[in-house]
Amino acid sequence: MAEKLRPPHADLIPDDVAAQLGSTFTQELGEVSLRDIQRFAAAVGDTNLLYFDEEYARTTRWGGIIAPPTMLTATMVWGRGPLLTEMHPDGRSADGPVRTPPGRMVGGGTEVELIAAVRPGDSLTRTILVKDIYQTEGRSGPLVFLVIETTYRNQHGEEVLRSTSTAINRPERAGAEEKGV
Amino acid sequence: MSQIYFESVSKGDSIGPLVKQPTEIQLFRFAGVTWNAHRIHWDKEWAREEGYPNVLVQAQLQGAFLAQVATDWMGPEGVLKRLSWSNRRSAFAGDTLSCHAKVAGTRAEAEPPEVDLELWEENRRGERLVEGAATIALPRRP
Repeated sequence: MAEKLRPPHADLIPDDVAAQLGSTFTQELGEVSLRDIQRFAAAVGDTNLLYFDEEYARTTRWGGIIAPPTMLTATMVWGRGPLLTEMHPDGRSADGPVRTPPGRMVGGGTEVELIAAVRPGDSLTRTILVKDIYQTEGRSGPLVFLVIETTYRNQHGEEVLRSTSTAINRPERAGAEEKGV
Repeated sequence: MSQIYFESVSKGDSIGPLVKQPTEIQLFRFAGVTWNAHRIHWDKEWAREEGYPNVLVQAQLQGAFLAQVATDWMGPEGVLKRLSWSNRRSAFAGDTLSCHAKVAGTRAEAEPPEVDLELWEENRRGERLVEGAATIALPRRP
């Protein structure tokens, strides 16, 4: 494992990105509807009756329809999302309040802790914590890692889900072409 | 839906595979429900310009496939407590993806008892594209 360099010893992490370490951002996500749950499950191709059949779901430990386990982390944008004029040509947009370094970003993995069921009609809030930022020297060049912990709560203030995701950024460094990055 | 009980689970048990063949239509719909307009998932020309052979299957859709292997197996009285995965290689529209699980361990002393699963998704060439793990609480046999 390559050495992890953290600010101020990480030359590829811009100051405004580094300054977010330990910061939290809270966002209202709005209501999760029965339709949201069923469209998500249909798009996955998951026909589990716990997502589709209220009468059946009532007979189980869950007492009614629940949301699939990866629905919250998969939902990239809540609410209306960006306007067309706010989107990049590649279809992406600034995703949430966390600033990322320039260069390409890829997902490095997701960990989900499922604490309580999410049900149709729940209104969710999430708190995003910038847990770690570091850079390493990979085989194909330098990489910057952003570790984000997100806690989702329902309208009763109960934690329903906690996720930790790692975003990997391949920074644009001067002279990168010469190194074949 | 049938229910599995903790007593009938042993370390090393194989689960699945759940075979998924994500089409361009599926990727488009998943992009829609997650409100993710990233062009590499729906514009083949754009994906090719970025160096990919076809549109890419969303990392989170593959996570949902692995979750489904676990939830199909555990039944309605099972509780998925933890799920994690890492996307190691890309999957593309038209790929045949086999989602597997294996019982990595059991904890009879927990209440309710727990099972750890190793999860993975592989393509037809046998390449592991996604690797993950799940922890599930199962009911004891009544």
